Amino acid sequence: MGINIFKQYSSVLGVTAGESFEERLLSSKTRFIRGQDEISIYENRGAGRFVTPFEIFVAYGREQFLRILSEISDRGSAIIVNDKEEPSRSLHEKRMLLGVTSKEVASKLTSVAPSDVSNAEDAKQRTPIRMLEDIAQILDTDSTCVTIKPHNVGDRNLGIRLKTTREGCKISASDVLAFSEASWILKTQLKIASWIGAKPLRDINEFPHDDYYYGIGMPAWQRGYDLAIDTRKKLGFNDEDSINLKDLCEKIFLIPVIQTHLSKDISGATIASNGMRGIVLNINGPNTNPLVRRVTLAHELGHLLYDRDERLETLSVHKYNSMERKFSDSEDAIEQRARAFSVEFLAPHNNFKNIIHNGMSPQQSIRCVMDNYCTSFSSAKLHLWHNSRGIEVEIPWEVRGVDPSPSDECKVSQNFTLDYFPIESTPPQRVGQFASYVARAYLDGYISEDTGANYLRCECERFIETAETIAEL
Amino acid sequence: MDTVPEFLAKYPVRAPDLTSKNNEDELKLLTVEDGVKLIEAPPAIWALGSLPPETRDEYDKHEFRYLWIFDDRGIPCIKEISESTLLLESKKAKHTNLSGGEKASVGGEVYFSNHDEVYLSGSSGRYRFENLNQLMDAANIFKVWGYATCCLGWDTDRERPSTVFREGVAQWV
Repeated sequence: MGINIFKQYSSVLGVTAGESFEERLLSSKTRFIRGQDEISIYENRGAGRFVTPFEIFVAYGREQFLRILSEISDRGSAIIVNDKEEPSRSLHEKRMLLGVTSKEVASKLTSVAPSDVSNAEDAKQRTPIRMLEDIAQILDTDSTCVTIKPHNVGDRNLGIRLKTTREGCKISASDVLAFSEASWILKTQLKIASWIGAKPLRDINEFPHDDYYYGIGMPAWQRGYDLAIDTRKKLGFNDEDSINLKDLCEKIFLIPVIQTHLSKDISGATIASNGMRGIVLNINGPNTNPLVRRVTLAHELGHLLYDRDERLETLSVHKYNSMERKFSDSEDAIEQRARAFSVEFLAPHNNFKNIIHNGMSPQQSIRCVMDNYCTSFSSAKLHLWHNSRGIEVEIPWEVRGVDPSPSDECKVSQNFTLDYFPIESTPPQRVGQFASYVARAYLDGYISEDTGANYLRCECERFIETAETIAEL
Repeated sequence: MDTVPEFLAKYPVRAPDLTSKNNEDELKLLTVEDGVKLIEAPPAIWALGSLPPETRDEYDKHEFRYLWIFDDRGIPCIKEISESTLLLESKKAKHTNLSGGEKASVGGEVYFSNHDEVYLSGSSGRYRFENLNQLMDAANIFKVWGYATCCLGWDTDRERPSTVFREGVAQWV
């Protein structure tokens, strides 16, 4: 499709400029407003979603985009529904795949009743597009083309995995939907990243999957240590460096990190969906302490970098209790390796002899590692206890009297933007890098302010006011 | 309101919105010789029967859609695609072919499921409806005349009439 269409449909797209098709598209000031069945030119009225031409082009594809332009040029509106059973069929199918009720879905959304969710699954009804999109996001289906894409159920394997995880590990419906939404955020973040030209600074393939978990004379924890040492070296970190894990994941590797409310016994999870990978961190329970959250992130990173997709099984959910235990032969090798990776990656034991001094108490030693590397009490204790040779302080397994809270410096540097975000209504799972990309996509003309506000769960005016600030976070 | 003059008193005629006009043929006044009818009390024995479209493909392929407007003559109506309209540059009629590009109040599309039963939309880019009340006032006139009238309804997301049928949205007047 060449740039001739901009002349042909100037009555629809208005004045445009640029050398390339994308530049011309982004320069159009036209906004479309969409409902469930039709799309029209936005004329400052209507309750539907108003979007940019770029959003329509990406959601509907070239052929449909051209048809929409032609119809709007001819009649002022274009019909987009092509299967009267959609989106009701897809939304119903995905909800069943996840094993959640309409009431449970509604509980995740503001101003949506269980009857609204049921109506959205009734092909006879027309549901406000904003409600359809919100439901689609929670169920991890493509909200930009909800109503037109048949069997729009997102990653079916992830859906099945969430349901079976719920049944096996006894995670709640709320957790299932939190992971489901996290998967949507992950995919949307990566999609927007590709639009705005965000690129990883390091290729994750530089760290190939490692199938060696344990062997004779090589317990899994040792393998985890070795991988951590190797990873730090490849990334150019010295032993004394404290790593900004969030930047490492989101800016260097471009791995989305989504922080959300989960049940208190869940620490985090890795999600692998349709070739995309991301990490979910719980901000409830022990992870309320940012140091613990950091260890969780390092643990998930260990899985994500080195475990194959088949082992990740689209979703791996982890519980908190593991860090309190010594490494043992009865522990699952995959988990032990990731656990060891996390403690060593955050705090290289080779440097302990340089920071732990003769005369320090066990408590002081643990606190020293915590403050130097912004790691948690449990992680520091485990690592010191396990690597006490070479330092002059004997660390017993049972240690009391150490304040587990982070230093002020660690708090600021490691609190993953949760402490400050200019929009109060944005939930934690949508702040951070996701929000930054959304703001940048709006400022660059890829998405409308309405879409941006929807993604960040706020009013349009507030989004417009704060977009530049958020883009810089 | 029960009659077209009453409707026009409340919603006066106005010039068409020609933003989407693609050629001058769209302003050509079609006549009785071209197949224009004045909708009056049923039975509309001249009408070819069909149900309204529910999808994009059904809309595009529909062969029995009629366009209508309200003006000083009453409710002139024409089959969108016919031997006469195929001679036009657009290959189909526009609402302004019913008015010759002159003033009318509102316009829409109608499907005759029977000679005395109609499915009505307010879909017209040239003579637009402003709100659901206006659309229902127009639909009521069809009902008063004796047609069982189903109005395809209003899309509050776009603040425009619905063009396709959805069972839970369409209303029998």
